[in-house]
Amino acid sequence: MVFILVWEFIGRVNFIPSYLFPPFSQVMGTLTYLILKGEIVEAYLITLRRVILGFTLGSLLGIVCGILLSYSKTLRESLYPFFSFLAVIPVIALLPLLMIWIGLNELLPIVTVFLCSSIPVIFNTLSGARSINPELVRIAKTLGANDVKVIYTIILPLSLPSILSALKIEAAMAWKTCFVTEMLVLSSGLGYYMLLAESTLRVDILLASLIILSISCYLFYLLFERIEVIMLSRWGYTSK
Amino acid sequence: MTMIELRNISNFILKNANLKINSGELMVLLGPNGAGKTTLLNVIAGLVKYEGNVLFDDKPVDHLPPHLRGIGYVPQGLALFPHMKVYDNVAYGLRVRGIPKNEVKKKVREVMELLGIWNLREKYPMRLSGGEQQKVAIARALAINPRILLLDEPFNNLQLSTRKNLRLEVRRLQKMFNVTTLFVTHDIIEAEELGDRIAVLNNGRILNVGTYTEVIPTISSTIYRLNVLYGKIIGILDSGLAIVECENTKFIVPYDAEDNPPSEVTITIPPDKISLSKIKPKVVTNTFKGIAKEVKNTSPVEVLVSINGIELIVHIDYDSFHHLNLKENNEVYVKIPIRYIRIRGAK
Repeated sequence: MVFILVWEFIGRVNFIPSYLFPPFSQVMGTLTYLILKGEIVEAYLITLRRVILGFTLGSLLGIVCGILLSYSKTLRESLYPFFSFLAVIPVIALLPLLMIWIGLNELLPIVTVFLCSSIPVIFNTLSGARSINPELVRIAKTLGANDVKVIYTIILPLSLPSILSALKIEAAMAWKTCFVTEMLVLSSGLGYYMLLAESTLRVDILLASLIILSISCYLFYLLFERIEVIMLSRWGYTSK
Repeated sequence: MTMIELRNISNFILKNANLKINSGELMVLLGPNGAGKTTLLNVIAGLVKYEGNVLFDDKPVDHLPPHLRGIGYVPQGLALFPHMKVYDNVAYGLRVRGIPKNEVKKKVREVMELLGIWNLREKYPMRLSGGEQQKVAIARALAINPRILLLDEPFNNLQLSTRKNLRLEVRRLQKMFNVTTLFVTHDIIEAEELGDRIAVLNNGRILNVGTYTEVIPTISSTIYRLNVLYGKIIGILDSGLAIVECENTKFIVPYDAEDNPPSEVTITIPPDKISLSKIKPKVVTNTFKGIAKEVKNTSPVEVLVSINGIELIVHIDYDSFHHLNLKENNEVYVKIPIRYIRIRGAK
């Protein structure tokens, strides 16, 4: 609240020209106008679709790979160095390469989001699965569970806290990656919309877009945090 | 009921172990930490690699994976599935075997009611007491109607009274289900109270198999340095106690009066149940003044105490030892709780 009041004050006193630093109320007015006009909604929905697709596919692959790596020593020893190598490269640095391989099409932002989501989820899933008490797996086997059932009933659910903490952070990262990809190389989506606003010096639109980005990241974070809290509370790990 | 036979079992811990457990028998596997007790259970369950043969009812099962051996296993840490409610924990084995839902419900309820834990069915394991968790683990193992029940030091970290109740519970259920059972412990009292027979394991080798009286010399001479004293009953008290004199020292021991009490008896005292103090304790029963003849800085600390010529080994944890500040040749009061002393007829 203080932040908003300071913002409004600085914008109003004309210490900085208002076209460079519009007051909060003006930004909100612009945001309302853009939403009603539908322009920003259209751009937002394009970005949202890319984020959801890339993030869902990336997370799923990350979870499956992480579980398989935790279960098979051979797989772990052969693939872990490869994933470690990928993990240290920022996805944006891969963009020129992906542009050549994939082209400037709808698949590009989805692949960048996919790559940015999958690698951290692999590592967190692997670390979560490997921290499970091995006795639980042994007991499940003596009780009659085969490997598939052990994964489905023991390893996957017990890795969920680690998976969810990765998803919480990577969901926001997915938005940011998609945003940057759109700004740098694409001609649609919220990132591109911001780029257009920058070319016409519409700082109010830039700030409105940033507010939308920020809220989207935060909502995704909250969603996974809520799931995590409910689940852990049910298992008795945290007090209700 | 299933007979278990281990033939020449060897692996990274076990050395040529041979053991035969009769159908419906409750055998206790007794040995110190690191002896290979858990590994032996894991061999029977098919959870570790080994050389040699495991036979159930004279048929080799070495080729069978754990989920096809029909084992009910209660591990040391209990390994209750933390993300499942008590009901789901107990039902797990039946569900993964594809048993129809109504049969699962019936069986789970039956076993849980037998153990008196049906009221806990909606709770998660983290919210249960230690004793309740033990019962859930036992119920989960029994629910699958196992051919063999393996219990790996299941009562560790429980209070003495809870342990005693659970021992009785295990005995009752074992007889009721008539399931061949191997119970691992390093507690000699637990072994005596539970086992039809006791197998003594040390350094990966099975040293002796037999009843408590038969294996006690092996135990005291090899693995526990159990205090074994020989004496005679010189008086019987009303409250289930007797006075036993060993080399001019009188011990009060628990004793169920017999018509013809043996004149010569053996009493055994576990070293870890004896306490030492430099201040005279208020309770004088079985409290003696002695001298610390030898102090070994092992873990636990081993103190050799001499009382009127009788030498007793005492194990105390490092913190107590540090607090006691005991040196060799120091005078010390030795207190032996009555309930831990065991008396037997003459050897």
